[in-house]
Amino acid sequence: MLIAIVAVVMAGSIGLAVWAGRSTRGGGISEFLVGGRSFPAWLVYFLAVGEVYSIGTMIGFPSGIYAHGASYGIWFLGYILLAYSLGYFLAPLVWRAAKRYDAMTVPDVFGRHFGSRRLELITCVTMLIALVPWGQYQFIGLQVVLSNLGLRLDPVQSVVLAGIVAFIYIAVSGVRSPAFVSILKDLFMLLGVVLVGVAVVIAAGGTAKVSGPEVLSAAQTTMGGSELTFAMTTILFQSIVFYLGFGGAYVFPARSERAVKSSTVWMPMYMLIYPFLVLAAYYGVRAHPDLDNPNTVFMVTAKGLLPDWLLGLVAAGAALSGVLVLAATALTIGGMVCRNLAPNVPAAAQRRWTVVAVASFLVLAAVLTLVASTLMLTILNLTYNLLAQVVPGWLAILFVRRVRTAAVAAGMVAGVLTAIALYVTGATFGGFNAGLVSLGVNLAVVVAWSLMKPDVARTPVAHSAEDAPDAEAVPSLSA
Amino acid sequence: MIRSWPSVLIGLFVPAFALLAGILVLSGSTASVLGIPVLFFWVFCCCPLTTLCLWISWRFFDRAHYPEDD
Repeated sequence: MLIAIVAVVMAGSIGLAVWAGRSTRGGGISEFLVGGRSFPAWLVYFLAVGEVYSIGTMIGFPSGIYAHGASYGIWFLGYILLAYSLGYFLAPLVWRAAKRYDAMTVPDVFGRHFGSRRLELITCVTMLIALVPWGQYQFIGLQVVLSNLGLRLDPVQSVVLAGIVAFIYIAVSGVRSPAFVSILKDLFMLLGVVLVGVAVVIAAGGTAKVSGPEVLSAAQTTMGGSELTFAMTTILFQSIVFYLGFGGAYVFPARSERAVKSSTVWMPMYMLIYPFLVLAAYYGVRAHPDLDNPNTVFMVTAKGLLPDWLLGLVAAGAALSGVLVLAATALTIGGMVCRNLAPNVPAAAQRRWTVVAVASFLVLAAVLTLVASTLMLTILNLTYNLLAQVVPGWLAILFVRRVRTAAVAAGMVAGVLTAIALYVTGATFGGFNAGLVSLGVNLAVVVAWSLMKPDVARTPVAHSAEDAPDAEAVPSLSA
Repeated sequence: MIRSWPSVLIGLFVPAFALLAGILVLSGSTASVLGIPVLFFWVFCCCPLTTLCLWISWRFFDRAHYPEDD
């Protein structure tokens, strides 16, 4: 029964992906990567929440509370919420930059604004390094979901299955698949999360019996000292990176600045699914205190309380969220490999080669998952710390006139090396988010070098839409 | 660059202050509201508050500056 429900929902999602791409079959690379920049506000909303609330929401978020207490839950919620306020103002500018430079990837924007193929390449490599762990993050979650359902699937089979479905989404219709499948995913995710949340409250006999002071210790519901420092600095740091690091994927396909801005208004309301997840996590703390793998807490809790057919709905929501984000990430990576990394791929061949790159990425992330699985939220932090290194470049493009191209490139390299070194050594800075340190190094290089040796003036994107140069005046770097 | 400071104040500063100051103030409290730790409860209250602030910014300060899509 359970496997039948998951299989039917996944098959339905593939059908939806095929339907979504029915009118665009054979379209060019622009249609494939950014939907011809035609998405209305409601579709931008679903694409954005589809990609933001990945499998990390159902699997990683409860596991963070289970393993580390309130601080992990609070920073996770806080950064997303603050990001919406920032995004309301920044995301339309990101869209304007993409429109001005006819860009389909973030490295397109960087390369064309600064007129530098070298910077385009460095930006591309930085984002590729950052997004591989993000793909791995989805795979770990999917593995947890599929292997905890009592299905006779080993980790390799789970990962291969998820990779194949993600590949099919993209191969049939590019970015339109994640956008439309996201509607289905949100429905099942909402259903799954609410079901488990309600089930734990009923099982315990009220919310106070799940997360009230009589059942949880102060250490489990409060934070102080370095935990508080970590939560506050992580909220600040990740909220900035949210739109300037990840944003391109769900901002570029919008049809206008209006669509981007108005869609952001309602995004915080989606976060009202989190109370149910907090309840599920705290129930897991008491009901399943000795889990070997904290990542499994949500599914173990669901499995302990729900009948088979309801568990199937929960699993379908979780699986869809993982596969969907995996597909969207693979598409972002595929686009960058073909347009920015590989030199001179003809425009007509880019769609075909993007599909090949998508497949290669999925295989790489799958292999990494199988050989190196770890606590999901640790991986989330690494992704953000690396993606943050494009933030100074974005700020220069959006707001500053005389920033040195070589300084942006050098800052990015310094930031990536610092982020990796801090991740490997596990430096903690008394709780201060390590990503802010690497971002600080990057910013210091960019600011100091540009002040000492200002570059030629370039019109920042934020100054006005009318300042946008003619399409012919924009250097075309990679077809 | 910034069309309307009231929009920034309402859409960004109010929700950011509510969120960050609320977390700082409530981080050590063991109280609970409706059985949910007050720290989490506050952050959940900030979700509709943020939407409300963004809606006010959009409706009263920004919408007129962004032309209707074709």
